[in-house]
Amino acid sequence: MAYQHRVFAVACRMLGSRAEAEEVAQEVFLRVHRSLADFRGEAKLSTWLYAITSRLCLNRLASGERRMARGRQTEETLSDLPSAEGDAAARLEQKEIETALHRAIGELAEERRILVILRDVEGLSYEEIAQALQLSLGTVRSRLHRARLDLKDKLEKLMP
Amino acid sequence: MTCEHARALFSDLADGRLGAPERAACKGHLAECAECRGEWQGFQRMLGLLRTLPRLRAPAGFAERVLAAAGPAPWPRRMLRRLFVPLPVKLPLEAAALILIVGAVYLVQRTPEMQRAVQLQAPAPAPEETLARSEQPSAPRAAAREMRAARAPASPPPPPAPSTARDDAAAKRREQTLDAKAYAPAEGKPAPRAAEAPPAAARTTEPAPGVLGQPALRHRATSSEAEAKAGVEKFLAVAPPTLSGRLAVADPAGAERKLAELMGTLGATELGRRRVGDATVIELELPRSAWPEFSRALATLGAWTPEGVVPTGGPDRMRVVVRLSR
Repeated sequence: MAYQHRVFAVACRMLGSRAEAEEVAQEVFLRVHRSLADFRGEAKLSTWLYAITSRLCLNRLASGERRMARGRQTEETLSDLPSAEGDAAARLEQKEIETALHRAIGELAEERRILVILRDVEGLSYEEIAQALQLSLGTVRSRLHRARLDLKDKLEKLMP
Repeated sequence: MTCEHARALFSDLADGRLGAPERAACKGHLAECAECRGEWQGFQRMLGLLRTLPRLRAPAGFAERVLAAAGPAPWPRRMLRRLFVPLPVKLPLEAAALILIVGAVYLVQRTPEMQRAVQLQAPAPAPEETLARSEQPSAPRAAAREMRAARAPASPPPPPAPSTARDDAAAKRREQTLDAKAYAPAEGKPAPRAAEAPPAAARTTEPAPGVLGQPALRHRATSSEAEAKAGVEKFLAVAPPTLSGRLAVADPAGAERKLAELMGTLGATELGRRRVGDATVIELELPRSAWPEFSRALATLGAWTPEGVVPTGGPDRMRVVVRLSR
């Protein structure tokens, strides 16, 4: 359970809902528990966890169970995030920036969103991302660059 | 370096994945191109904001809930999972197995030969049943005679033997072909229980061939004759031979004729005959008391090699299987 926060964080940023993120995160750990004997140790355990989390989130977003429109990464579900330290004005500004970031990330296509979250939020390397998502390095590189350019454009619109 | 090329390298430049020459070229362009420089600064600011996002933490009690859910599933769910998961693999296999079982049961129900094979495994009858059966009328004997008459003879019928007291006794014994004691194996084990008589509806239908492959009777059997035939076939199916052996001869056809004569002389009854490759397998029944003379006569016909010895004791009549070949 050392990775519970990381798994939950990825699921929460992908799905935009803490309740759904908890369901997915629980499923991730249950699957790991059932399949631990099959883990061959060819990759890091964290990479394996990120792989399962990403797959479950993408499946959930693609399935019909969830009809959340892209971009409706609701502010209320992430509103209980710990606020920045400092005075009230700074905290308010930070809150606005975070809200704009959450919204811009939520507006990204799912395949690009997961790359931004894994690379720029969670800090995985290109190689780890490629292994987790079963993509080539070239695909990771080009897709991540497109995702970042998209995110930059959206942020500039939200925060002119 | 063009603006398009430079902007395409922003991610690699930010992540330190550019080689020295490319990095220098890109930075050189940024120093000269204000527009690209502005884009690059916006790109870096965006990345900086992303990296300031606060860490999200799992809610309190999450680990406990996961550990509780990871306990063993209830046994019905585990059993169902073992039976049906993975569905694409196990369901077709189980459906195929079910179809095979149902098909096998259907075949056994519908095929008389297979039913008889199943009945071979049935336990021995009670002694009272055996005695009661022995008191039935002589219709089975008549059916046995009919069977012998209907079979296409491979050799000319034996010449009529001169009438002697011994012949009369042999004839009497022939009348007891289906004596209940003859069903008992030589070693005194309980006789296997005969199967039920065919139902009334089947008695007037075309009878099936015998166990040893005798040709089916062509005439319409009456109910009593059909019962007798069924009784003989049951005897053949369930009673093991007392002795089997191989008779190697120079002239198989001639040996068959002499064997038929010998059987007529000693009061033996031919139960069946079939071809197996180059050999002719003849199954006969003769009085136990006639065995010594019969075996001596076999030795004169050719090289007689019995398989085993005739057990002491046992029923008055014994079954012998002679495999006749060159």
